[in-house]
Amino acid sequence: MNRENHDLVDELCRQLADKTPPADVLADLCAEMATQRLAIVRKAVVPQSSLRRRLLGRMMHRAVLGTSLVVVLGFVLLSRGTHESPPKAVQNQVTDVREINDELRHQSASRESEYTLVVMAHGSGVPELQNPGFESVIDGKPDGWFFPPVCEQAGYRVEVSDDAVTGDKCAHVSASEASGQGFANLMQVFTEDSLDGFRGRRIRFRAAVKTKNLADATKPGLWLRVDRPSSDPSRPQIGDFDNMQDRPIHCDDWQHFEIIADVADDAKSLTVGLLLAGNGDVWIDDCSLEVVSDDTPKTTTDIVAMNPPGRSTSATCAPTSVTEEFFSPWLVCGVVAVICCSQLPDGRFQLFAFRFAFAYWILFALPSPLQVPLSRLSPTVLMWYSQATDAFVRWTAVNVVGIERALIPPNGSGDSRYASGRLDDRVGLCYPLQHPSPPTRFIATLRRVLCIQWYFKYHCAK
Amino acid sequence: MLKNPQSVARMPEDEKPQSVAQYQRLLEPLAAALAQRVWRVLQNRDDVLDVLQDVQLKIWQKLAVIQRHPNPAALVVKIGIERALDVRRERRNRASQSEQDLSQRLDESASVEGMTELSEAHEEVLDAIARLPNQQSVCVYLRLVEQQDYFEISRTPEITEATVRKHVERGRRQLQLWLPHLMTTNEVKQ
Repeated sequence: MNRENHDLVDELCRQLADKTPPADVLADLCAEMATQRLAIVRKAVVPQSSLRRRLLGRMMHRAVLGTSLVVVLGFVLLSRGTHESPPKAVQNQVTDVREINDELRHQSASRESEYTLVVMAHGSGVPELQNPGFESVIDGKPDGWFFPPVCEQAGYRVEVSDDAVTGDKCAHVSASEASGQGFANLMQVFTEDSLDGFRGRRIRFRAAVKTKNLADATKPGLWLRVDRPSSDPSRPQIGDFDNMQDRPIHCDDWQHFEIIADVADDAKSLTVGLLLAGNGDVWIDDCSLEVVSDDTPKTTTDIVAMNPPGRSTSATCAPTSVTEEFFSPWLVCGVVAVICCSQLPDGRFQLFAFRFAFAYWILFALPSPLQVPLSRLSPTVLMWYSQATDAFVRWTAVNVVGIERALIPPNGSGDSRYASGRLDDRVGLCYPLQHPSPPTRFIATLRRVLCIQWYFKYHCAK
Repeated sequence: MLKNPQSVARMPEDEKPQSVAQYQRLLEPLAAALAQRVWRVLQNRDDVLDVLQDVQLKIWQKLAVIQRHPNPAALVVKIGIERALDVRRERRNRASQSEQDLSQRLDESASVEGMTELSEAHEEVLDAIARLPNQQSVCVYLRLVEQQDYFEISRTPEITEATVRKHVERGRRQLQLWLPHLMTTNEVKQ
């Protein structure tokens, strides 16, 4: 053992013992210590209101946790019986005809505004077409059928012809003077009051059709559309739709064609008619509209792709779209966040987990799945829920996230109007695409959560 | 400055009003001594304040245990020194990651307002003590720097006097290995 070395270290240590802070520094440290003690004691004696808040927060954590587990389990069960999504080719085809569908919707809307209803419920309670055989004629045009003025402006015309398959007359739609733009549309509209006999049932629109002089790209066909209520009256939600653009009619002699579709319980209107997109001559006669059994195969395309993302469609289609929306990779984060915010001790991580859980469950995930059980309760309840969710999302967008309308991505609230606006440079929260890819959705959702976090940090802290 | 104030509030509600008075009574007379000892280890105002806050928070959380101790004041000082040595160890570990960091740290620490000049040898001794295992470093510091006797040291860490002697002796030997340049030429006489 080296005594000298020990002595040297001991000497240094003894010198250290003599080192004392200057008096002013020591006084400063003592004052700071007193301040720290005061802060510790003040935090320790928690006001009753703060305790209540904390208790409420813990109850909310547990409620969110419980609700999320119930929702997850519910959707696992609900998703079992649902059919698969339509193939890509069908979705693309449906997307192709969307423009025509929009125009048809516009025309039928104008029809409702310009004319009194032509279809009345009969004693049986089942609505019937008016003048199905085109035997009744007014001013050379079939009575009860509507031919929009815009079609006439596009060069199409409708007249009553004697070349009938049944009876004496039929309707003849021609496009000899058409410029090739637009399309002809001869239709009838059933509004909400006259649909009672069809609600919740499968119907068939059937008519005899023959064609002549068709140009190559001309696609004549029957069409049918069921509209359902929407929070945006100008864009009703599609219940079911078919315009035969995937199987256009090309036959020189009379032949019967049909469209079979479902009318939803909450259907707002039903529109049927004949469509001629392109140059040529089409005759239609012997129309009928009747209820068929539920096991009759539908001819309509799955309309998941027709509605904007986040909207529920018919009862049979809703679980598929909502399930896809719900069972995203973010679900894991949402569940983990709920568990963290209820289990972690108070602190920054717990706060972040709570905010993430709030943003994910309240704004993103829950509004959509809850629509399914609500839709089975009552359409009215579903409508109230959609409106309430929409109002809440609007309020959150403006007051919490600090963005104007047209910036919230589809969130399952049933209102996609926000998704079509301009992108705000400062926050940029909306999905730029109608059908965003998973990476795009991931990035957009991440940005949204970060923006909410940013808001809490810089605004609520004040 | 308060790092985790929420954790303080977890104490049972019925204990708090009494605890506040006891807490103040315990710490007020010890504040100067505690600050002085922590300063001696760290020599940096910010670090000292951080350590003092941690120590006061820990004392609040363990108030019942500390009050049952036969020598609460010594225990409080020991907690302070222990935490200060921890901070010094962390500081040294950070600095030793690169020589550049080390020189930067020395430059920064030298420029801190109110900083007392310590010789390089003193710094090295303190760093070496801080590098020792936790219990050993406290025992060595209390023995060598604070000049406490073995019995007194054995009461605060609540270990036997023989263990304290063993810790101090082993710590001395370790310091010898770590500080060879402090050896004089007499070491050849070993």
